[in-house]
Order: sequence, then C-alpha cells, then structure tokens
Amino acid sequence: MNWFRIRNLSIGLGLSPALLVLVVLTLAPMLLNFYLAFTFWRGGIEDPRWVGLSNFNFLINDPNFINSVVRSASFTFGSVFFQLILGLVIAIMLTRRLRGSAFFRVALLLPMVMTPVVSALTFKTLIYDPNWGLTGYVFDVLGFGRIAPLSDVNLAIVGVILVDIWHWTPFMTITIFAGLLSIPTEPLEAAAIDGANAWQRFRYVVLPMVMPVLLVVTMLRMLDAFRTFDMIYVMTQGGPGRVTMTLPIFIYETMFSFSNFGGAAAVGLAMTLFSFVLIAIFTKALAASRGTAY
Amino acid sequence: MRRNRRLVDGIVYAGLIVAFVWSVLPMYLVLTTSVKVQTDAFSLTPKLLFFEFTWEHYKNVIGGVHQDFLKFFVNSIIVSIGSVVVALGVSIPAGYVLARFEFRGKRAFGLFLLLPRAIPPIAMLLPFFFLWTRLGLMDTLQGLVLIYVQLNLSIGVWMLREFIAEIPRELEEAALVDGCTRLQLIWRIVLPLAAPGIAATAILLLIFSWNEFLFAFSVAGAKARTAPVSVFNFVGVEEVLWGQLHAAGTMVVLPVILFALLVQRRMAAGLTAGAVTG
Repeated sequence: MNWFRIRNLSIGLGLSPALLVLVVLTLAPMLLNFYLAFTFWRGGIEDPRWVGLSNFNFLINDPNFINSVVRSASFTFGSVFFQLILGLVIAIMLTRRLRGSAFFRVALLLPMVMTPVVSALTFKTLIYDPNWGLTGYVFDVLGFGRIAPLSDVNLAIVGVILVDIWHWTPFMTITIFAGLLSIPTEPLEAAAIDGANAWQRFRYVVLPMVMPVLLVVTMLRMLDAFRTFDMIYVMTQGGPGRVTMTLPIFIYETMFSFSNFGGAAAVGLAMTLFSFVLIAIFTKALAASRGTAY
Repeated sequence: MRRNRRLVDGIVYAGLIVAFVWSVLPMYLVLTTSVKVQTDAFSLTPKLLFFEFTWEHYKNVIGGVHQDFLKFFVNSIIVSIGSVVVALGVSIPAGYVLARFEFRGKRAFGLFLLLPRAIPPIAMLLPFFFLWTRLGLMDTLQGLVLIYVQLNLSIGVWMLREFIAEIPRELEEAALVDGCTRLQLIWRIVLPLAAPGIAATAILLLIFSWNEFLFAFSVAGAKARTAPVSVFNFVGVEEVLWGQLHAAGTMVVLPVILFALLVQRRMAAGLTAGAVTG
C-alpha cells in the first residue's frame, strides 16, 4: 500500500511541471484565441467586444482570405511533394555502400539547420537578385534576360517554394534514411533470390515497409510548411500583389496592418482546425498502412 | 553484373555530388559575400572564386555601426539557453515517468503533450500578444523564454522518454533494493546514463530556439530583439548592406552548424519524436 502511494506520488510530481506548462502556456492561449475569434478587438490594452460569428461571416466573403487559402495549399503541396520525392531518392542513394557516403550524409543535412531567415535572405539577395544574383546572371547568359523571380507574379511562388525545398529536403532525407536502415534485410534477399528486379524489390518490398515513416514525415512537413511564416515574409512579405500571401502572412497583415485582431484570431482558429484535420487524415492512413505492411 | 554495379555506383556518386553542390552553394555564397569588398559583391558577373578579401563587414557588424548586433546576439544566447534549461527541467521528470510507469490517462497525457506541436505558432501569436501586453512581458527576454519553452516541450519530453527507456531497468531495480530513494536513483543513475541523450535533446532544442523568428520578430522590440531578427534588419536600412547582412548571417548560422554536427546521429530520432509512437 505504501509502495503504491509512493508510486502515484512520483507520477504526479514528475508530470506536474509539464502539465503546468501545457495548461498555462498552450491550452489557455489556445482557448483564448478561440474566444478572441468571436470578438472585435483592435489590439493593445483595449478590451475585446463579443460580436458572435461576424468575423467568420466576413472571412468567408473575403476574396483575400480565399486567395490565401489557395496560396497556402499550393505552397504546402508544392514544397512537400518535391521534398518527399527528392528526400526519398537521396536517402536511397545514401544507403548504397560507397566510400565517402558518411561525408555526404552529414553535408546534405546542413541546409535544414541554417536559420530559416538567413536561408531566405541568402536566396533573396545572392541568388534571386536580378542584377547581382546568380539566377539573374545565368538566365541572362542563356538569353532570357535578367529575371527577377521574387517580383514576378508568375515566378514568385516558384521562387519561394524552391527555397523551402532547398531548406527542408534534408529533413526528409535523414528521417527517411533512418527509416530505410531499420528495414530488415531478409525479405529483400528473399525477393532477390525469387528473381525480383530492383524496381520490383523497391515497389513491393521496400516501399510498403517504409510507408509508415513516409506518412509520418509527410505529415510533419505538411504541418510545418502550412505554418511557414519566416521564409516567405522575409522574401516577399506576401507580394508581389498577393501571390505569396499564405495564411500566416495574411494573419500577420490582418493584425499589424489592419489592426483587426479579432479577424486574425478567426483565421488562426481556421488554421488550427485545418491542422487537426490533416493530423486526423494521416493518423487514419498510418493505421491503414501498418495494417497492410506485411 | 560487375560492370552493371560500377555503373550504378557512378550514377549514385553523380547524384550525390549534384545534391552536395546544390546544398552547399548558398552557404558558400553567404560565407564569401561576408568577406568580399562591396564592389565585388555588386558585380554583374558573379565573382565566385576571385575577389578582394576584407574583414571590414565583420568589424562593422561587431562594432555596431548600423545596429547593436552584439547585444542582440547576447540576447539570443540568453533566450536560447534559458529556454532549453527550463524545458529540460520540465521534460526530464515527465520523460522519466512516461518511460517507467504505466498509469491511467497515460495515453491521454501523451496526446495532450502533442498539442503544442499541432497548433500553428501563428495562431498562438495573438493570444500571447494579448497576454504579454497585460502581464508586462512584451519585449522582455523572460517573455520569449516562456514562449520557447512551450514550443519545445513536446519534442523535449518525447525524445527524453525514448532515451530514458533505453536504460536497462535492472540497474534501477538493483539500486532500489540497495535502499536508494527514487530521487537519489534519478540523480545518481538515470541522469548520468541518459546524459548523451539529454545533451542531444538540449542541442536540438537549442537550435530550434536559436532559429525562431516569428515570436522574436513580433513580441520583442529594441530591448529583447534576437540575432535572426537583427539580421533581417540589415535589409531595412536605406542602402542594401550586403556585406554586413551576410557577415551577421554567418555569425548566426555558424554556431548552429557546429552544434548540428555534434548531434547529427540522433537528429532523425529527435525530429520525429512522438509522431511515430504517439
């Protein structure tokens, strides 16, 4: 009995600091945001005023909000799709036993630890600048003239996605690489003996076994791409026009340019719900892939 | 068969080299621009290899010619270390309990723990703005530390839980039989054995805090500004200070890269902590 009491005490003491942080610094602000979404509030120390659903009514009729939903979707899918493909290909290349592959494994992960702001500023100035940057020079030599990706309405989203791909592909590479290493080798050898070629071994043996890992990292990356603020804001601040105005930049603009904090809270709530839906979808897919993996 | 193998090796090497150049080129550009005289940086034909060398930009950045970069750099150090120390203090006991005990509500707690990772930080900016203006925490280092603890908690607890679970239980049972109290046990056995895992966790969280931009940019002003925001501010000045911008950028990125090299082996586990098991 005494042992049981000590055990419960240990559990309580061990978890309470974390619980305190979760309740005070995560749950409470989240609920506060939920409340603010139903208020009119211009920021600062003035008190928010309850206005019911009017922020949401305004939002669904606001073409700028719809625009941002579309931009966020294209940024998220565009970035993560290429990161997944590139990450998978590079991870497979890294699993081949070659001299120097340990060096590549370390060197190829470096972009993702760069401070995102620095990555963004590097591309904005040293690569995308029409006069002094690399793409300006290269495209000029190729005869396309000095392109300015970030101030071109058609190229800006591509330019921003490319930076995200540069920065975050390593995330896919190292997590998928770790997943590939944990695959048992026997099924692969068995398939090889049975006469399966390289593609068949990949498609029918490797892929089903790494599928759970692929789903998890795709989910994490999509959640993060969806919430990306720093890189886009630093490069374009949502422009030119509103072509790179993803939801986080839209929220920021609604807060600090229009002082419409209630409206911003409503968009924040919408983003939170989108994220939860994304997690729910992937959790389902994960359960399904684990069920059929073997 | 043998020739086939060498062909594939060649293709893989070529692919890895392309990936390597693509990964490293932007970093090379930052590094060289930070020691390049301004006239060579503004050249219509990029001077990638041959340019006039100078330390001037670093002198200007450190000397605070355009902004007090050193102060903001120190702010970054304080905020990062402060938030990691607090996050570890909270995460180690929680990670220990999750690794060692079965109890009712454990699964619920695990899910609750993922909440800070599920909510987009931009959706937390507003409530923190509301609270911090009322609590006097705007533009303070403590204010930033508290936010970063919240951002780092999920990964901290999940990583530590996994590292502590790797320690053989028998060691602890033996110590308990020898009359060790639970607290002595954690202090004398668990912490020393989990030290490499704790260090890896600390470094990964340090990198996250160091790189954070949104909150540093929005709730910190001239007093509590951190280094990444300060780097961004080199763009705002009338003339574009490329040399100083990239000298400051190099100073911000260099420590992170050194730290990353220390933990690269455990990074994959840290980045997906909680998501795989939870």
